[in-house]
Amino acid sequence: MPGSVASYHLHKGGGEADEYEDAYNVLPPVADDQTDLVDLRVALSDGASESVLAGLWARSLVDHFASVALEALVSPESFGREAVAAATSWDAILSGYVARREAAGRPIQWYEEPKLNRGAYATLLAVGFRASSGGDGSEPEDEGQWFAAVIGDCCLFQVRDDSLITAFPLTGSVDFGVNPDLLNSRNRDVHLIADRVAIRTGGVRQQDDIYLCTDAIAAWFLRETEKGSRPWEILRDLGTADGQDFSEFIGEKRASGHMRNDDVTLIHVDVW
Amino acid sequence: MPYTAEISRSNPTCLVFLVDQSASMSDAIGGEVPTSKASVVSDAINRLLTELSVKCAKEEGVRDYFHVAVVGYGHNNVGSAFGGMLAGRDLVPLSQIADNPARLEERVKKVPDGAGGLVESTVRFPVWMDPVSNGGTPMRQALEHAHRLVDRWLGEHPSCFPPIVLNLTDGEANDGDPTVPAAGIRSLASADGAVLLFNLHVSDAGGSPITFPDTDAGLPDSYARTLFGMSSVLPPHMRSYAAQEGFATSDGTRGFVYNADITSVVQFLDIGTRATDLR
Repeated sequence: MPGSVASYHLHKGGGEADEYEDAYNVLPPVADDQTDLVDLRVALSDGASESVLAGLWARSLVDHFASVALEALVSPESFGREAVAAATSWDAILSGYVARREAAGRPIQWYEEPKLNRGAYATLLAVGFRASSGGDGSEPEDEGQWFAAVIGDCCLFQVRDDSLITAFPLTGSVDFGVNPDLLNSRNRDVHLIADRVAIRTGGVRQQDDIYLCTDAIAAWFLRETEKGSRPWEILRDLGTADGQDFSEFIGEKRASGHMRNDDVTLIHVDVW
Repeated sequence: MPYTAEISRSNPTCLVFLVDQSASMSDAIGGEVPTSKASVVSDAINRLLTELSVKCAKEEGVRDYFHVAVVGYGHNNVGSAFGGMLAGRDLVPLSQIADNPARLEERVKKVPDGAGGLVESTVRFPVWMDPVSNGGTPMRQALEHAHRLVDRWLGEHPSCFPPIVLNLTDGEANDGDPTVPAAGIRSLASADGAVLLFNLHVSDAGGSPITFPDTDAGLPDSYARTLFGMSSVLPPHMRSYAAQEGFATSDGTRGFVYNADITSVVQFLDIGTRATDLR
């Protein structure tokens, strides 16, 4: 299943680059050119702006979920166990952070304590691929399958033959808000997470395009689609001779009010 | 659509808290342990500033999404009610407020132990102002002072989320009709909508606490009804948050609270994705 993977990200306008609190990971690491999409894992996370250490937690989640077995993207209980495993490892990360602050002469301030005690929050979308095999429920034309599990409002869009065939988990631009479901670094409740995770599977064919997006660009994508536009054409051509530079594109959409000012991350899986 | 402007460091808004510090605020209200009205409002201010600071806290410090003034009125004048390093200042960036409480008290608090029980924990409790009660109640002057602060702010930040003026008082103004300057404040606007005026009424008139009513029918006295009439109708998204907090709301719900907690207004302010647990 040959293809390529491209990633783009930009921090919130008016902030600094190191304040970017989305995170993503693609394994195995892909080069700029052709890669085999079989066994590819992609994880995308958006740290909640009202929580502290949201970027660090998002990074921890994507590093964990880029390495999980495919079962974790198929079985809600398995996903829940992996999310709790990531949360369990968070305690050591937090201790290290507090120690570094002390060592740097910047101890934790009173206004940080309540948030650190509540833990960090982030959304998560994890996607895995595999080749089709007989009896796996895929269509005869499918070269492979994707498996996606999500908590919150990161989205997967699949485009085939110039049409949007999958929007997951949100399907309308009005579905976005400031209260998405979030994974908390203190959450040890496998059953609750299993109950709230959304899971979906789809077939992969030659020439398909799959876009994984954090919420601001996902909302723009759906709004454009609702208007009858083909936003995937812009995303497909990013960085090419015919396309726009990602930062310029996002800057234009923010300035015109067509995209909310937020950290933005896009991963494009291009099936050849 | 009004009340949708981003609140950010590049597009901050301002909050003006007006605190009644007149002699009548020394009267005690409510409960098993009577508390002076002055203590109730100073505690409310300290909790509001705490909630705001925590809401805007990130790893590098508190972000200046808001500039805040705490204005006292009593002892026949109007002026900054900040203590400590901030004394005498009017609108102060939130990061400076967070870094400069007059003092940090340590209080023992019971917190969940993670196993269904409670355990005692020491928390740091910042204090910016102490109770004060002295002299008359120049509420009209205080509202006019807030008008000047907000008007100046709007001149410098014309596209901001509309500023909020929150008046904490027992309502017994003695320098004229406060409804006129109140209307003046509500007539100010940014490109995103009219300035909001909310009121917290602390009273020894009794009756049940009331939060965000849409009618003055159940209010105990003329002071409460006057303050209700001065209060802005909540914008739709704030009504939604009030409803999520369990309050009954309607199109006429106003930013008015009688002898109840006003701290929830901090949760009306959107600065990005909220940190909420799975349910």
